[in-house]
Amino acid sequence: MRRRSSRRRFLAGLSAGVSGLIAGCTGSQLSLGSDSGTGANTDSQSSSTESFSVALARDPTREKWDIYGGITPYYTHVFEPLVDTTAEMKTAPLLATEWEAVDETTWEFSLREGVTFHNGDSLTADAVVSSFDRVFEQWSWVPGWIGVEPDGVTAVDDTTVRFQTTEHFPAFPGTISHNYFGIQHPDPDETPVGTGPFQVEHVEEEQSITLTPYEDYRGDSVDPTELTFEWVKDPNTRVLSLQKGSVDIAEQIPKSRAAALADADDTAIETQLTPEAGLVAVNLYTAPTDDEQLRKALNWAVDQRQIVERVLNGTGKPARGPISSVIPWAVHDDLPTYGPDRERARELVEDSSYSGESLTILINSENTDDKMVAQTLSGWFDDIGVASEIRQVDPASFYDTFTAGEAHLTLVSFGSNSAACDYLVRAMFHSEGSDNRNRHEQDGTGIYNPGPEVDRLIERGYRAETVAEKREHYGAVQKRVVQTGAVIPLYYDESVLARRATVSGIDGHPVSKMTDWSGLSRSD
Amino acid sequence: MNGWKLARRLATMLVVLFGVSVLTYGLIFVTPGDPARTILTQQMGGQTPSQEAVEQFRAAKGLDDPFPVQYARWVGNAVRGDLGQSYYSDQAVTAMIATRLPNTIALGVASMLVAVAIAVPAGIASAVEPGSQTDYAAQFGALVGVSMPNFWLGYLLIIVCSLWLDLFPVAGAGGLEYLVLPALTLGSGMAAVIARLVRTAMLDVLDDAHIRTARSKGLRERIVVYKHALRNALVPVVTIIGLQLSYVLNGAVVVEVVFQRPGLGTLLVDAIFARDYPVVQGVTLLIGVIFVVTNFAVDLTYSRLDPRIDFGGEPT
Repeated sequence: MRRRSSRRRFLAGLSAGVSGLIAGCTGSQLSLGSDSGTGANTDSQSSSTESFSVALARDPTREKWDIYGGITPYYTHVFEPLVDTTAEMKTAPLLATEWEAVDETTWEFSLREGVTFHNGDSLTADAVVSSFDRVFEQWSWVPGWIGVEPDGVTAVDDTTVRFQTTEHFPAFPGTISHNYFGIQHPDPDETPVGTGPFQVEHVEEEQSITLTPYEDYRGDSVDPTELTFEWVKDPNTRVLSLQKGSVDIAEQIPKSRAAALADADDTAIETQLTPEAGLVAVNLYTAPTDDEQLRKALNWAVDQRQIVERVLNGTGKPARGPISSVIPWAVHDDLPTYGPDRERARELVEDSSYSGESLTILINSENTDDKMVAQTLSGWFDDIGVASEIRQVDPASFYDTFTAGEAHLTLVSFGSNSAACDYLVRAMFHSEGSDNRNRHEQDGTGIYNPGPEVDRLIERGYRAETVAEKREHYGAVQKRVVQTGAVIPLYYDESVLARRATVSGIDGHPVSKMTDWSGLSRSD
Repeated sequence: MNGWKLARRLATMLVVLFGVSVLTYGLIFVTPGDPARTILTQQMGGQTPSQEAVEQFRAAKGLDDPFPVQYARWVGNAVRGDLGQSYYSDQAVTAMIATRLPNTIALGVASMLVAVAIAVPAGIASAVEPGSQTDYAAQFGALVGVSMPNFWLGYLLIIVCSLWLDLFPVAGAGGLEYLVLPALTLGSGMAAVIARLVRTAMLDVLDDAHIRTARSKGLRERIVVYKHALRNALVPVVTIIGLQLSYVLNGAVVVEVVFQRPGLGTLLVDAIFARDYPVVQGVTLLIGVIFVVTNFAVDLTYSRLDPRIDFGGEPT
């Protein structure tokens, strides 16, 4: 009898304990400030005609955005940089109205007058210096990126800021148009304080950010009364959340789902050509792809239009070169096209030194599209008598494997998140660029850097002051790498964003992280 | 249980945990992939970082030091309770774990409850009437449960229960309503395994002499099954429930992603892909501790369920 009652007490206690544990654990979320749940369910928000929610693929709060008060500088438009990136991927005034190169390594930026932070304080040169100092202090690697040492930003007067670059760097203004260099108040309190059209209302750590309009914004007022960015990592869950109406907008939609969302009555998609290009980097310094005839044969085998239509479900643009046509100095229209002509490709294979080796196609396991692209390419190569095998590696290993020269062919895609795109051509094709440096330092080779002549062209383009000059030098590089088969161009990327059919007013941008939400509206 | 055995067991646990930490650190260290480049690329929104930036990041994080130096530094801090800071976010690893652990515990406990609630009755019903329609239905259900991938079941439940029936939210973390679909997703796979084991164990026990004796005494079948048979069948079931902990942690990775629950599974996977060594080490160590402690608890439970079994799981 005693044992039975003891067991009952034990079971009752266990039951209560388990219930308490679950309640406690789930309650811990509530204690973070979520009284109606968080994540992808925001039905209550969606019911308001002026509140909108956007599902992001990345956590808008996680990535050590402490210097921005804990929120991502991407997407949110809480912070504004000195320089804007236009839809043509050019620089334009934002917080700075004009800038000039005082000498080869000195830039001076004049600040816009009448700009106020969300707490009412005026924007000053000291605030800009302080903002950059905080970035330098937080990320020791930033000087290497923008070519300015931590003591290289100074206030000349209340409205003028001077930047001292370590070398001649004409692309500097574009470089600081990146979201990383949004200006923030020098003494931020708990909430992030910027100058942008939206201000922070609430941050749910590792889950969401809620914004409201900054009423005293100097520019046009924004339409949404509330804008929430939620983290929904899984792409399929983002789509399901959108279909249910839990979110109004979902970014980075799988291309395979785009057509269905576009066809559905209650959802729609928006696409936007981005500065990113997908291509095959061909290893010029390992047999058999060191043979130009074989490289040209591979190019003749590829049908870029079919890749876009069949593999990428119609999103993207067939590429002729390695640089997206969005970028001002891209020379897409002037580049030669190869085909497809597999008969000619077979003849070139016959004429080449290729003797049946299997080519390795390296892909990043994170990019699901790449696997299908690689399989398609492999089929076409097989059709012209060239054997290939696909090697898939995890994202963290991918770049090291690529730059170690372990593959004959590597599927890569590169783009820019600012108006400064010079680094793309330098990283890809200069012998000292990040893609080739490893092998170049080891044995004087590289991966897909054609050599000294192209290096010189890139250096001239890098020092060029105008787009026309850049186009001349970088255009020559693009022609050279296409003609010699150092690359197999595939597609220029299009970002896909899905929305509820009743939502409109999304002002897309080539850099998707700069999409403008200020005109969002909802119809009945 | 005596003090000497307990001390020996604790010492073994420490050795296991040390081995886990060395292996994890060593394996991730020799795996290709540069944390500096990976993390910078992610932080820069996919933009390729410059070589100078990569080198400065490596220097700042001590990534240029040899493996023994890095490992010794980590161990030195870990024994003082400092698991380091994430390369990615600079947050303290202990804080990151503390934030996510409740979600994973809630998911694990809820899914285990779902599993046991489904599996034990199904296994018993199946064993009591072997060859019956109930038995076939239970076995078929178990087969489906074992075969169905977590992510697929997760999406299916979202479509049916959330989109069509509007019963639960699609995803997120919050109240109990957010826990139902993830727990069903994760629990169903475990239920299938446990149900099959309950059935097998019950069939064995129901053939035993003491069950025939109980029946011959005229005891009601319910008493025979639930009091005399089930208790004896529970020893292997408890073992498998303990081992299913690994399933919970593995499954949590997928379920947490599908249902957008910030937990240890997603934290670990993201850290592995980013080569965020301190986070990988911290979470792995915690998982090791959970495993070791659970096994210890299972051993203790054996002797509680069957006094003939000595502490440590060895029959006396």
